[in-house]
Amino acid sequence: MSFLDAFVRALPTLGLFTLAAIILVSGFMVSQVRRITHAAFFMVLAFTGVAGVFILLGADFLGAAQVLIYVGAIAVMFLFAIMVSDLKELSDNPRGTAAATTADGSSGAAAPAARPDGSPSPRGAWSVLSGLVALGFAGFVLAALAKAGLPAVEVPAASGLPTTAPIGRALFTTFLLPFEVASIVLLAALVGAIVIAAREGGGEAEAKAGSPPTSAAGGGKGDAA
Amino acid sequence: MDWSLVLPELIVAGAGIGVLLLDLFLAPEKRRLTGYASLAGLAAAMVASLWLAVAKVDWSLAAGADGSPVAAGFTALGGMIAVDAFSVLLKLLFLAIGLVVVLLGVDFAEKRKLPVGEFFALLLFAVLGMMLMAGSRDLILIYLGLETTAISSYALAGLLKDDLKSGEAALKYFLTGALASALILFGMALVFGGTGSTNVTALLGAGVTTGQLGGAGNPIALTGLVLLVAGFGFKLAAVPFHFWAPDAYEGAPTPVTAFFSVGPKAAAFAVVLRIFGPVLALGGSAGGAGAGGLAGAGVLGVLFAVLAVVTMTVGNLTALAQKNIKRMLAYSSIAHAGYLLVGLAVATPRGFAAMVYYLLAYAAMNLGAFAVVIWLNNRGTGDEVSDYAGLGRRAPVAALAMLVCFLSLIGIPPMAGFFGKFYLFAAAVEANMAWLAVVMVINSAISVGYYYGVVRQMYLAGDAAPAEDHGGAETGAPVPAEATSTVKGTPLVGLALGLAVVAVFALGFLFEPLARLARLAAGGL
Repeated sequence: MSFLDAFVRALPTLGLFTLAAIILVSGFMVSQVRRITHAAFFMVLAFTGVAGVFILLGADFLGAAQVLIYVGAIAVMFLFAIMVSDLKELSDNPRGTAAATTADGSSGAAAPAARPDGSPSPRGAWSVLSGLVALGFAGFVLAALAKAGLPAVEVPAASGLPTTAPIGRALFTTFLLPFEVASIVLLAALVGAIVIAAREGGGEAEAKAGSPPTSAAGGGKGDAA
Repeated sequence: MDWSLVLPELIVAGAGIGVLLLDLFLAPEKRRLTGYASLAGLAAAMVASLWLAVAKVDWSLAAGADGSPVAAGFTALGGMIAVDAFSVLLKLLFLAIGLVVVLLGVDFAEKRKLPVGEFFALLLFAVLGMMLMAGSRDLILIYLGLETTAISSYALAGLLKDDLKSGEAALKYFLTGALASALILFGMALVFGGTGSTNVTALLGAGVTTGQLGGAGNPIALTGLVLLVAGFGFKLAAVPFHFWAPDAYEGAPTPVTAFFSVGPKAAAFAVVLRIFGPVLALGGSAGGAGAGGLAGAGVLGVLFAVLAVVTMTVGNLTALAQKNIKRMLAYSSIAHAGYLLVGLAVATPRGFAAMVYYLLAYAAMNLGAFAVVIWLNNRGTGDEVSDYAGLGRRAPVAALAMLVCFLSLIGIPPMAGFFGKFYLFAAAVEANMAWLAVVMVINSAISVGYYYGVVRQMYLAGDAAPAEDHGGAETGAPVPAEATSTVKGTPLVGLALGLAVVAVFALGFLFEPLARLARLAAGGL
């Protein structure tokens, strides 16, 4: 009986670590898998894990919103974008990333020129290095947490009541100004995205996609930095 | 809620949306009207800011950290908006920057066929974000302001859609900016975790000043602050985080480059002052000025001192090698960020005041230099330094204005740049960090090298290497590169240039009152 009690008490912690493992592994896979569709699906998995963490912490509204917005809407947007841009596979060479699979004939022709210098080894070395840095930093933060702990913060969610009402109240009182500013952020992003992507007068609309001539221009220029 | 406290922001946001709508109803050849609408909006917001300064800001003097009088100020709208001398002063600066950039942009946008309405709307949104950054003590609003500015800036950098360099600039700015945002967010999360509040004033009692990384005190919040240093380091283009700046500055449309070099940078400095200023000052006064002034400053003080030295040195040395004037000015702006960081390393109210004054001076002189570049570019002169050969004869006024701005950037006495550097220098010496001041002087001497390179081209080199051969081809400028002396000045760019040059002198002559104002503002952080 006492074992069962302890197990039940440990359940949230167990769940948290399981979810953390899911998030970390799928986040890692996003950066590692070749097929971009697979990466998108791993990202969906990571989003779902985050939603689970929210729910575990008693933030039911945030968890639901996370599922609806990230797992639902944003993931679908990603898949649509992948479908529309006809981007299937990421090459090892970051310079040729978009080039390999764009339908655009001219960028396809430019891709081989950028390729030969890129052997897969530098990317592997960078992966290992950044992995080590990330692990070191994680260990550092964990050590700091263990040493100092966190200050007590009043959490409305801890009461177990639905959090929708407190969130709504906070959004329209204390955080009203940030809430409104967020709409300006979205407007600016919308206008910016359209202005960059819109094709007018035959202009190339590949600025955000990082077309290979762009990166070639970057590599060819003598930079003292 | 007293919404009049954010009246300038409301006006700028309204103007941005209004410009977008106006653009819809205008015939393509009348689109420059959106520019005039933007000017009107920015001017109205300036008036509103002045009204705010007179009617709302609490100028009653309180005792600052070191006992000197500072303007009190207060926070409102759920503690989100800080209504104080600092925010009003910087809002006015940002609005002035926006005004000058719009003046610089109207002709350029028309000549280069930029999407005019979107250009000005995004510029207004960027200015709005900067105002929110400077006007808040809350990490949430600071972050939203930062993103407003950043997202607008990415799009602005890529507006020259037929120019590959512009796309490269947008992409590089976007990728590094996204990385910086991630660092900043992570840092903010840790600061929130360590202090239990998103308000930056909570840092004061959180024990970050006495703490060591991973040791006693508040290591979580301190770790968050170090991440914030890195994240804002990208935004400031401080040296280990600067590599995106030259490419972004070179590729972006030149008025946008002018904006980048002063606007988002000044806003990032404002935020850094808000977040780190009080903490650093507390650490400095608690620990006292130890050996070399560093012992008492803790991890953050040392960090800023190192950043300052590395930033100005690398910026200046790399600028020496540049052939393109926009790249040169990019590295010069990196170096100036280094000078500004001295104020943070010094970590006294005087150091912060010197930073505020230097931000004003730097905005004026750098915008002036870019105004000349744009003025010449509109007339077909290329962006290479060699294109400026013989400019002293071809366009004597522009050359003279460039000379004035460069002298100010170097720090020659009657101009604002001298007083700015002098103020920073004095603050460093006063805080027992004379070595930092010495590094500054050495760097100013190095900077003479590249500024003089342009001046020599303008006045001493003959017309033997004129702009004709690669000027137009390189930049894709539609205007033929010839007979510039006979073209009369475009009134708007000329006006902007005039404003900047007048400001370079006026800020110098008004040093005394402005320094007092900066002191009041910085003391109330």
